[in-house]
Amino acid sequence: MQPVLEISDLHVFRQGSHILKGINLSLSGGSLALIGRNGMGKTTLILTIMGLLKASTGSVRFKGEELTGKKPYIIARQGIGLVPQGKRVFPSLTVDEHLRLVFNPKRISKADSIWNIERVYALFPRLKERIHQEGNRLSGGEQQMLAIGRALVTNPSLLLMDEPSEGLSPILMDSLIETCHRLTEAGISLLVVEQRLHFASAVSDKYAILMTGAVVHQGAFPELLRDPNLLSTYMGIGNSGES
Amino acid sequence: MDISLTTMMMITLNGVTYAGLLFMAASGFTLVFGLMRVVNMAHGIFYLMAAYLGLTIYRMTGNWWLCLIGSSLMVAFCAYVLQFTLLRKVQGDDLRETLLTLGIGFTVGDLLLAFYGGMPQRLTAPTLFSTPVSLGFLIYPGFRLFVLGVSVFIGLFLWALLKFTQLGRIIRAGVDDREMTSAVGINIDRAFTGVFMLAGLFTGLSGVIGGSYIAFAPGEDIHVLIYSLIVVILGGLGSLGGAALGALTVGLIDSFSKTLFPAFTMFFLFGTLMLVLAFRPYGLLGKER
Repeated sequence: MQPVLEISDLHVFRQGSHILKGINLSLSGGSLALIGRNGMGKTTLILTIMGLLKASTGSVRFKGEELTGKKPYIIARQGIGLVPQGKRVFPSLTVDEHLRLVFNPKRISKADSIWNIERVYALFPRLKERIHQEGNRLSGGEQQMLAIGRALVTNPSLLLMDEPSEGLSPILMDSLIETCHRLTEAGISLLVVEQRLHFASAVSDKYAILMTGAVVHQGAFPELLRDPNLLSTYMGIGNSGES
Repeated sequence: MDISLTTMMMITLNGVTYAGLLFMAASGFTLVFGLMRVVNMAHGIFYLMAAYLGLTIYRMTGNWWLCLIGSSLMVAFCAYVLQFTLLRKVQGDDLRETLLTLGIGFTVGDLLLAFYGGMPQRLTAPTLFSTPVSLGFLIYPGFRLFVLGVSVFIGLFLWALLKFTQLGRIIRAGVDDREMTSAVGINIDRAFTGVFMLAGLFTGLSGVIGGSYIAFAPGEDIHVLIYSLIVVILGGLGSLGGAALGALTVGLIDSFSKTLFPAFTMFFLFGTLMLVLAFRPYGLLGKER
């Protein structure tokens, strides 16, 4: 089976420093958590996949098609959605305007089970209550829902989520985990950048550890959580399994 | 000083119609500088170019409406060329934008001087507008009322465009977060080029209308640029209502001080700007960013 996302020997520089030093990563459906300490290049990787940062060498393939060198809007139209770090909702657009800005039925090829505005409201009834509120007047949890909804109406087959649990209360985190499960059940692949192991392991069964710009370890979560050596080496935490 | 009520009304009305002209001239600048934050110092030259192009078209055809439409379309095209070939390459870099557009402003200004000479010129508005209109309490030049009407129309058009259309949503989202707008599948560069052309079109319209309202000569471009800057900054960057309010303030100050204390016009104008910015650093209706 062809992988959804295949990254090989990807190098990225930011302001002169070599951030990504030969990333190799493959995702063939389901959900993969990208973990690792701060400043290891996780966000840089997400932004590079989306086309917001330029790769100097290497390749990023999405369903077999090369993405490097393409503009972000082209990449988005090919089926990759971004839920960025800090949510980045538009302060001067209302909830409804966010979704209407992005949803374009003409651009969607598959006829069945499309993510339209009503379906996003069905997934997040809370957003429907805030329909005419501007982005900057929403709570952190609502902004996260809107950021996910905004990405969903592009009808992605791969969703990139950068620190989605950041700033969420435990209750909201639980509902976000449930949302992620519903998305993977709906056939959307997830690449989730996370600091919190508890959250990452609840959302994904597989993980990849990023350290100083390279993937140093990959595997399935149950093993990682049972292995105190791995945890302390790569994550800098004890064997409690929590961060 | 003793002034009658009619004179007061006359001065006010002059101020309001002049505000209309200012708003019209600054509307394109509000879009480009206020919203998109592109420091377009060539704004004034678009205005002057439209007036001179209008002059040529008028000499050829004798039809004012034709110069209004033809000239605006040509300026919109020039704006497109400027944005697509040059400005796009320095996008987001304020200093380069400023230098590039200033350079273009000076170059085109000198070309216009070489071509049309330095004598003040004026376009002739259709006779339709030269008939004074009776407003009951006073008789008023028809053309000035036309100017006011057009500026109100432009204001409402832009408001509706920004608030209700997809292009409006794209502009607002792009101004908030350009990268993110692109990451949700929107070709933001193309949209911004479109806005730049629209701004050129409005500046072109205002150049022909303004050139029929007051005489123009080389140097008028700097005037228009400075007044547009004052209007947009006074009103608050990115606020359409602010630009309207800014234009109204400048128009009324100009009209009243020119009639009552002609020597102090600039003092009152910049004094007001200073006071407003001292208490509201983001302008009358501007939002903190």
